[in-house]
Amino acid sequence: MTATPPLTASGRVGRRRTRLIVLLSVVGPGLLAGLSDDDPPGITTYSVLGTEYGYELLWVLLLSTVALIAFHSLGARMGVVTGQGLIGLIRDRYGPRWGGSAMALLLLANLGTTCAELAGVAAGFELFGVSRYLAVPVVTIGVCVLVLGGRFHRIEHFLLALAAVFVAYIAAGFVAHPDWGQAAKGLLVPRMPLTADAIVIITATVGTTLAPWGLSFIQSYAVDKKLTVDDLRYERIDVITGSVLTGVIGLFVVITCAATLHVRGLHIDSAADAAEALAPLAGSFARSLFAIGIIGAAILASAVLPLSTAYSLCEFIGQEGALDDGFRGAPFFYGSYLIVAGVSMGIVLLPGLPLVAVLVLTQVLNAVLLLPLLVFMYLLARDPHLMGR
Amino acid sequence: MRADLPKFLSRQLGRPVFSSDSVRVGRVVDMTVLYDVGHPAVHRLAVGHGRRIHYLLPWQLVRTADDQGLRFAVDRVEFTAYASRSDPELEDRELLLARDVLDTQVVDLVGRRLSRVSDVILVALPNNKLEVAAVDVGAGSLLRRMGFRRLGDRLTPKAVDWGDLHLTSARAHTVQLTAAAVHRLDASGLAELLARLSTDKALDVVRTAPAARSAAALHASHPELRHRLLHVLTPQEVRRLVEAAPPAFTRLLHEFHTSPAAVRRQLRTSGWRIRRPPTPPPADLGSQR
Repeated sequence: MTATPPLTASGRVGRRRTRLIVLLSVVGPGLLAGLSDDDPPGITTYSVLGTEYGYELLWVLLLSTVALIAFHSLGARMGVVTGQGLIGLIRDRYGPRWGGSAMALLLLANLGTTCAELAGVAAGFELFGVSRYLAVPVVTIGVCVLVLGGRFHRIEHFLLALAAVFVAYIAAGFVAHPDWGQAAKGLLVPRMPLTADAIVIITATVGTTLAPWGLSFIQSYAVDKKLTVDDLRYERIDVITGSVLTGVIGLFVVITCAATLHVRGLHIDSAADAAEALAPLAGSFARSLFAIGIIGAAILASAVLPLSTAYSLCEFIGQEGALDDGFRGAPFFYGSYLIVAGVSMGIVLLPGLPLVAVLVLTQVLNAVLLLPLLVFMYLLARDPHLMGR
Repeated sequence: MRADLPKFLSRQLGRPVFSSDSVRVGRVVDMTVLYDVGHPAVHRLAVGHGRRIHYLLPWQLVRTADDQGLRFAVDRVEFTAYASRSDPELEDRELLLARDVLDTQVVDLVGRRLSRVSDVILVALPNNKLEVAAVDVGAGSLLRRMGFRRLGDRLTPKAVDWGDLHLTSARAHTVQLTAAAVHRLDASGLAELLARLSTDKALDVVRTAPAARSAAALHASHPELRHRLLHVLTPQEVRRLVEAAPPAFTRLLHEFHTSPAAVRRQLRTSGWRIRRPPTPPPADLGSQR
């Protein structure tokens, strides 16, 4: 038996550097999938949680972050081992009726969620006095041109850079001067008022953090990165990083609202309400930070959601579609993207449409779809023909 | 008698099965074939309830097949001789058509695209055999199986010949490698196949195919895919390819180096795209054995 020679200091540094580079190479899906969950519906839910219940229900965020890590890790693993996305895998193992039902629900939920993202764009820009009839079309067209016409690695970098706006929420949290002791207690000691409203907001928080589209997104993306089983340990770090950041951002949104709106007994209906209400309490800077966060989150999610939907549809139908192909080469893929983005834009711009109702309905649909998708994931993960023994 | 059998596999599944003494023993759960690049005949029938298989019986034992179902030439007691586990033990090249082919992803090597099998097209032959002719990758069969029969029937099937397919399901992929199906692909076909398989499955193909053809296929592949695969191969496997590659390709293979930065760049840009071969390889590569 040959003994392995001890590594020199430079060798250890070199190995660490190599590991870091390999880690950076796979970072992306987990961060994007996680951070895209901090979208306007998510920020709205967290804002309502903090405004109505203060620090009391912070533990729910910890719980949903753990669930996010568990299921996104599972999704990435299933993608790497099977080489298929979630919807395709459901059709593969359970036939077209189950697969079609999951696809139809996902399509409906994603369409509704894209509407909610664009509603976030509208609300965010209106805080700065920009009309939704200008902001929403410009953002939608801009995102379509970027995603469908650009080189995707640049878009991925752009999206990740865009995610940096979430720092705005952390900054807003510090500006609000919260009670850190109460926050720590709320995070670590589970307690809840036994009311229907509290149960609804807890369900909504778990539902908005662990969104169905995020599950399908991370699996598809791990497939396309052609990751191998050996890459999974790095992918896991990516997933954990994205999930923890998602939880931390949600935590700061709750803390900001708890420290300002809850202590004064105020009530809000949306994240934009929260930003408006913050101005007199924490200053216009906090309001602007909150508004910038909403806009950034909305643009990030409205770019990723139609892409994830188009990809799932292609996979279900059995159409080959990719970003390199151009409209002529993959009309179904590009058409699906444009239809989801265009229909969502049209819905958001309908005069008199109750956007809050659309947002709430979407969250309900997401919650309805989440449970069967988790059951499918559990069953698929236990299938030895797919995952090996 | 068997000429009136349904044309599609999905219409065969679920049909009632009777013993020779008219006892209903279950339904058709699946059908097996012995994999062949040509058109294989149905080898055995899996009979059971729901998705669970209870019996595996040779196709030759089917006496009649009509609207009422399939009747076997063995009685209820004799059925026990063909009892099977629900996860049946299959012969080396044996595939279950519903489990390993239906609804799975396939690579159409002629059309050069990734598709999903909506149905398997069977042809009844005069010699009492049922042969797998092709798979339907069209939306018509998919819609019909989802319950939209009228809409589905309006769409024409998109048939892909069985011999022009690479099946990607776990069992079928392995069977095709052992059945040496990839040995019959030329460099161009191999390169198209590599572009659509996961890294692990693509490596299986590179390792199984003759070294010279694998090297030519890698040469014909998109540079980023080539780098990805070469990075995961062991140095010994890369050396095997270099030694077998014609001189023109050897330079390219030697150019490869396992720089983490190169791999990082490759992985960064892989999302939602298929790294297809940029140009067809020179004509002489395809004929190399």
